[in-house]
Amino acid sequence: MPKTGNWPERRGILVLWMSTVLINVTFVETDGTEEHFKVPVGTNMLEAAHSKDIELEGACEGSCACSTCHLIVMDVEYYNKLPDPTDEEIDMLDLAFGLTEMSRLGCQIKATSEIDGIRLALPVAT
Amino acid sequence: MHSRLTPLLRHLNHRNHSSLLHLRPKSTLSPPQSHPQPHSQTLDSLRRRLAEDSPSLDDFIRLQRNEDYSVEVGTKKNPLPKPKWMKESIPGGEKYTRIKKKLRELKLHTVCEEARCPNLGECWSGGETGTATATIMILGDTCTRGCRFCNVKTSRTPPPPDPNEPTNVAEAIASWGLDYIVITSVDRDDLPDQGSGHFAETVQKIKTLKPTMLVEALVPDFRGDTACVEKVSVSGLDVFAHNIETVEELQSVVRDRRANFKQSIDVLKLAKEYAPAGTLTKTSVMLGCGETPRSSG
Repeated sequence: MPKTGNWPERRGILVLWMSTVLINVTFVETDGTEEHFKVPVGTNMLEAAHSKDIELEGACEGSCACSTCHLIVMDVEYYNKLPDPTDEEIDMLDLAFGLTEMSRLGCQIKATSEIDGIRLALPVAT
Repeated sequence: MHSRLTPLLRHLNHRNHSSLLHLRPKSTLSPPQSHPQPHSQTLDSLRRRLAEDSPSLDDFIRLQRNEDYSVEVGTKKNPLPKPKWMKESIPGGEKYTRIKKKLRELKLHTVCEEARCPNLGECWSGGETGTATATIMILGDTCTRGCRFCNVKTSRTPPPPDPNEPTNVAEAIASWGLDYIVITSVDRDDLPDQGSGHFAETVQKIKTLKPTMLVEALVPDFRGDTACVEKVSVSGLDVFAHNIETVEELQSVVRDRRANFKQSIDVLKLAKEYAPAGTLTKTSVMLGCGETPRSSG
């Protein structure tokens, strides 16, 4: 951090630093294959999946208006660490195929250091 | 020589609850199309032309028996090359350019462009018959649903529709000098009347300005709301269209999950009841989504 006391400059560097913090995310495909990736903090899981060529559909492009990016959080400790879903997300999740108690929309899961190591399964069908 | 089955929109005409389905396959086995008769001005003439021009059920049965119905496409990581007949050429040509220019001049939007339909080049250039078609889209360019086959923008809260749109669209279309127009829209689950009022107003205004033009309204399901379906059915349209999009088994895979087979069929049945006698109802199906010949039959 610069010692000049220039706050915008410090903030710029802080933002730059934050965007390079990576967490470990595992996507589990429908056939059981596990794919391990490093995902920058702040990215949502739909963006992460697309950047790594994971076949996760995002029909509404992450606007919380469909249920095609439905993912299942495999470990309950990680599910509990996620912020509660909004009413909008719940409405869309209700439409998802193969809904489980640990289901979330990929576009609404933001990568944070708290969920480092999260394992996300793609549902059998969308 | 096998039948050429392209994943295009097919038009199934439901008339008088007939169980016979008339298709327009792009089969290389069917005889070449002769030059079409000039567009008729009345709905009766349209019905007569449909009865004359529709291919017979035989073409469809031939397609069903053919083992080449399905094509293996592999996966995203290991794709298999697609057959030649499945590829579309990049849109271009004189008619295409003329239509594009006209649309921008009249400030009209098309679902063809917004949804990035792969058939755009073929429809706008006239295809086999030489008759160019385009489908105008109203109620904005942002939909409240996300269907997997469509590239239209999606949002939970699209901007409010332009109250001047029905008038502007009607004037633009009337000035174009067409005989037949298809108007479609995005889904507007966010609006109290789901856009049915705006849709009906557009149809009415077109009919007022040009009573002889045939108007097809390709409507959303309005979540099955009978009042909305009625409002559009009695707006003066000639053809009430609502697409079931795919076979029953694939509805939840292909469409947004707020849409479903029963709801769509009910909308078509309701329209038949509410619309004046003689109004055509129409639906369309996209083939090549993973259905079997039996399920599409």
